[in-house]
Amino acid sequence: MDHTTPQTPVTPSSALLSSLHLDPFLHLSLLHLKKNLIHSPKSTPHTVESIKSAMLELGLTPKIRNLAYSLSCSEKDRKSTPEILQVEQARDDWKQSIYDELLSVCSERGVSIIGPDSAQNKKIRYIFDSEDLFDAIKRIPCSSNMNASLCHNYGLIKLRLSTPDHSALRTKFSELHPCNRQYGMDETFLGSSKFIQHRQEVGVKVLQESYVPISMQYARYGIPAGLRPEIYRVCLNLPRRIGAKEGEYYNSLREKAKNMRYNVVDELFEMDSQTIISNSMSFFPFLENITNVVLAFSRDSWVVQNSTYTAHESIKYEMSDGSTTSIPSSGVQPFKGFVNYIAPLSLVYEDEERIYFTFRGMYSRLWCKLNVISSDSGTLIHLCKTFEDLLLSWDPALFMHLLSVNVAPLSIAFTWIHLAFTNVLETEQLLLLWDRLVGYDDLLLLPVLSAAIFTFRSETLMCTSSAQEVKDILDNNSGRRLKVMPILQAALFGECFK
Amino acid sequence: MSSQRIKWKIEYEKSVICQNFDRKGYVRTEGDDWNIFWATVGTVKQIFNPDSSQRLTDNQVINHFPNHYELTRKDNLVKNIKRYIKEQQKEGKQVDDFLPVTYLLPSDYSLFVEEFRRYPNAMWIMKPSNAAQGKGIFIINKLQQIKKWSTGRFARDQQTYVVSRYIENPLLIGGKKFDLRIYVLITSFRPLRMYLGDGFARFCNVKYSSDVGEIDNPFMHLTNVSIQKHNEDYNYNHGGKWNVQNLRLYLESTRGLAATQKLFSDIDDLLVHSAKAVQNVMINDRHCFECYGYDLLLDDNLKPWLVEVNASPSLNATTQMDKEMKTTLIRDVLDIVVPEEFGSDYRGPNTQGPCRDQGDFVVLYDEAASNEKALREAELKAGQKEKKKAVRSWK
Repeated sequence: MDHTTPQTPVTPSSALLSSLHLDPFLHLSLLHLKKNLIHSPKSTPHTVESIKSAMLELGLTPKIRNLAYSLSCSEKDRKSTPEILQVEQARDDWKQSIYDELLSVCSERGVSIIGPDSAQNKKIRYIFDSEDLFDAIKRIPCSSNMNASLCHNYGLIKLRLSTPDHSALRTKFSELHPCNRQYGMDETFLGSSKFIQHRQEVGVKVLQESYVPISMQYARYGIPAGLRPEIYRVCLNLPRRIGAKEGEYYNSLREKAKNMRYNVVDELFEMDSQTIISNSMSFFPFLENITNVVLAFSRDSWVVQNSTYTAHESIKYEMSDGSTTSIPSSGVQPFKGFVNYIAPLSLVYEDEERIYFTFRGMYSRLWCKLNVISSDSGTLIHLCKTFEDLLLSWDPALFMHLLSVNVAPLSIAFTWIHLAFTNVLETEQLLLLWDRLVGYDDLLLLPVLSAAIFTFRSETLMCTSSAQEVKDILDNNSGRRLKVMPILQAALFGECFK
Repeated sequence: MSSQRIKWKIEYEKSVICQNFDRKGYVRTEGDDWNIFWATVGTVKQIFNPDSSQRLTDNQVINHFPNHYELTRKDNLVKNIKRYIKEQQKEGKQVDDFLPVTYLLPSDYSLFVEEFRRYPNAMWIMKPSNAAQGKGIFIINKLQQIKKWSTGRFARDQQTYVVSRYIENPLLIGGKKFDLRIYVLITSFRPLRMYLGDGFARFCNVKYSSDVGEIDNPFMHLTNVSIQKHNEDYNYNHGGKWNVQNLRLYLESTRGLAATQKLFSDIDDLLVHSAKAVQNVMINDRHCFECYGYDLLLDDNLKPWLVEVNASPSLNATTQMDKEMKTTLIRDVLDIVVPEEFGSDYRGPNTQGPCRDQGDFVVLYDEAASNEKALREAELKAGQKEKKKAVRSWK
């Protein structure tokens, strides 16, 4: 529980009740329910059964079930250990440096963060990218009193964090065991049509239930492309099908973006989109959609209120009417490669609104953890350390060999983890990986897959004699042919890694 | 026969082809002693000209059929397919139309005008019968637009045109129109031996609009790379090309598995029907093979339409991905058309047994094999009836 306990104890049911009032749909439905029950034609007393069936008719049951589930999860999410001092310091420094960088770019261009932009043709530069984040993390010392003798380890992450070992991973990801049929493997074999059909039938039933934990369980075995759009939505506690309210909300965000432009911030998002998407072999048709989504995202204050972590600092700007506005409202500053998190969804959804809400859900649950400096388990630093520990235990000879040619393995794997493999895998494989990330609501497979790729290429890597050779072998382009599930299964459950 | 002795010849330097021949260890030649010749259609025409004294030997293969234009000239394609569909109907087999309503000009001019008046709001696309790369194509929605042209042009040159109903509801992705280029290898027409190769989608750079004011904008309507290249948004990284795997994934996600499977099965049917339509008019010389570039358009209802068939699809590689795909394509074509035993007793592809998948090519239609299979199934059924009879008679 939180260290700062409120006056009245917060029980699950009271939390549920207060949430019910906050959700307008539920509130209205409950009033409706009350009316129906009070004015029901039958004069029989109200039993639990009759209330249940009335709720079912109104479509309340799935909503309340999912609400209860998400409340129970958020209890677990609350931090139980205080932050490590030097990490907290690093996080503050990082947020500050982004803030300063943004302001300095503004002044370089002679514009304020909002307002008329006179310097339209001046070249603009990114305020930070993956490398900068990597540097910020590498710098964190292992102990606040800088006692170097305690800090010896072969990896770049000096912090002493406990990471899951092989048997813990095997247990956690038991659904991925080869004895279980799943997408990413079994649908490609001869005679797989029965499996495909079965999976389809189960998926349809799962969607009818629309219950978050069941959809997540289904996602762990990989999702057929036709069901992915809706399963992702349910896993993120969204209704299966998009409603008019969501559409209106999205349009209002787009209006906000059109009516009041953020200098520099908007330009950086647009530049990111322009550079990455228009050159991308897979996503170039969707340049406009993706740009719209990223700009709308920057106007959405829901993000900062609902993300598990706030990665960056917004700039507080005082408007002419005395009110302050945060720029950007989402609390997420632009950096090189951000649109990579959005792009794959353009092959999943036809319309922008649905791309938007799924992306927003995934960011607030998953991607924010990849961009925050924290020692919490499941966040970026911990994932990086997991990668290093895993590789060291799976293939120590390889690890040492790479160090001997001056390549720290994490220096290659960092962008894979930070950008969730969007810059490596071809889209179908990437989505099969994301199915598991969503299904487990956990990013642990990112370092696991990274270490698995290194061991997969171990023989070739052991023959290298220079850093450049290593980089060529592990070049992002070579990832285009990688198949995720066989590599993960071999690494997690293969006999050679006892 | 050792691959050292296989000789190849080519007319225009195409790195994709030369590299493949070199890798196989074939020897280049400029003379007539070639075993495999990657020629232009003009040269093939000369070789097969009745007045030519050249006779191909048993171990020579060439990359075009002498009268490929039955399939690859727009006017012939229309004639052959219309005839084929009628023939099939007479036999009680329904073949869905896969060519948009098309008329030949000037011969069908009055028929066209009748049809035009029936659908006054429709758009029509005019294409020269024998041009390529989008040259000379324009879209009309008023009869005056061709009346003007017709009075001037017909008088001057013999150029015939085809006018087709323009598909105004193309399937759009990211708001843009695209078409599909699919490679199909045919090594024999009687019986048909067809292999289905790789394909890609070619996107327009500009968002599509069926607005009448935009019919003159080639960047919105015509997907040919030769045209899109001139748009300022043209990107040299991907060249506006999307591989079929991306298309399939997108369609499965947005339209569902069943609709996507039906689309690809409809495409297969279309390809086979188009070949059957010209089966009996093609000169089925056993020295010939041809790798056609089929251009298809998908409409909003996921129905595939045949736009045209190219006898000499471009082998220029505009992007890295393009280069890889075309190199693999030619490699697979050579693996199929050059038999293992390529001696003086080679009697053509039909002596090589049933078609087999090769590399990225899958067998699309093997007429001989499927006829045999049907025959065997019929025999089996008959045999079972025989057996039953025998049992009864014994009793």
